[in-house]
Amino acid sequence: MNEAQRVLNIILKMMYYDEFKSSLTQDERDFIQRINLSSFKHFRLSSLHDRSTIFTWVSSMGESVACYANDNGFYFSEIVAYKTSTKRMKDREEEKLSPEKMEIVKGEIVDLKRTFRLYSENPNDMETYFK
Amino acid sequence: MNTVQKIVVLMMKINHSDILQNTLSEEEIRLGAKINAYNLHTGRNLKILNDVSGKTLLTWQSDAHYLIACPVDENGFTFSKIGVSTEGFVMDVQVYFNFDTDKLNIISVETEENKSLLKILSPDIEQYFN
Repeated sequence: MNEAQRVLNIILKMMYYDEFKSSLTQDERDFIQRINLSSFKHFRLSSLHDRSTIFTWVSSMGESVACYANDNGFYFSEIVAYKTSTKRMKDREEEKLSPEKMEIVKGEIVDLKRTFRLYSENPNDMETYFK
Repeated sequence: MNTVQKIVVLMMKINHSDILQNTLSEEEIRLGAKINAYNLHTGRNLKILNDVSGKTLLTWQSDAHYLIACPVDENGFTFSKIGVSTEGFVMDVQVYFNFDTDKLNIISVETEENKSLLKILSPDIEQYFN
């Protein structure tokens, strides 16, 4: 696995922690201990209808944020915000972020990069994975 | 990993076309063929996902036009506690974006009405998961 895949893999295992806790490697256990599990519920990988992958979290600015992710990395430069809704997909609203909200999201991306960088054996190559 | 964990991993990899595909092992490919995983994914929209509380669910679309979900843990799939949703075909992206409510709107199976539904749905379960 490359670094992006290792990060994706650990996110999936964290998403389904109760199912995988008995199969976690020591490296994975160490990683999970290093990051804040209490905030984990805000992170998740989801698949769209075409089975492409998005990484989402609930931003502190109050809306869900999503970016594409794949084996090459996380595309944080193409963030999209979604208003949470109990309605169906057709009613989902995609929103352009105001500059103020974008600043909040940018700060969160910095934190995310810093979090995942902890897991890299080679910090110099991590930017490759966060396009 | 036990068999349940292997199935969960396999279904997660099938759910996503652009991540971890080159990490599919021979064993996972064989397991996928054995349980007809790709056909279940495309035909039944079979998915592993977690709800807002972190509870893991196996979900699929039934011939009876309902969305079905059952709890999953590392010990197995708890088919005796399946839930049904009258929002049967709401299985879309929105489901994953709402972090505030239980998006799947799983209905308790304790009511008489839902017990009746389960009788209708049981052929699906027998066919695909026994």
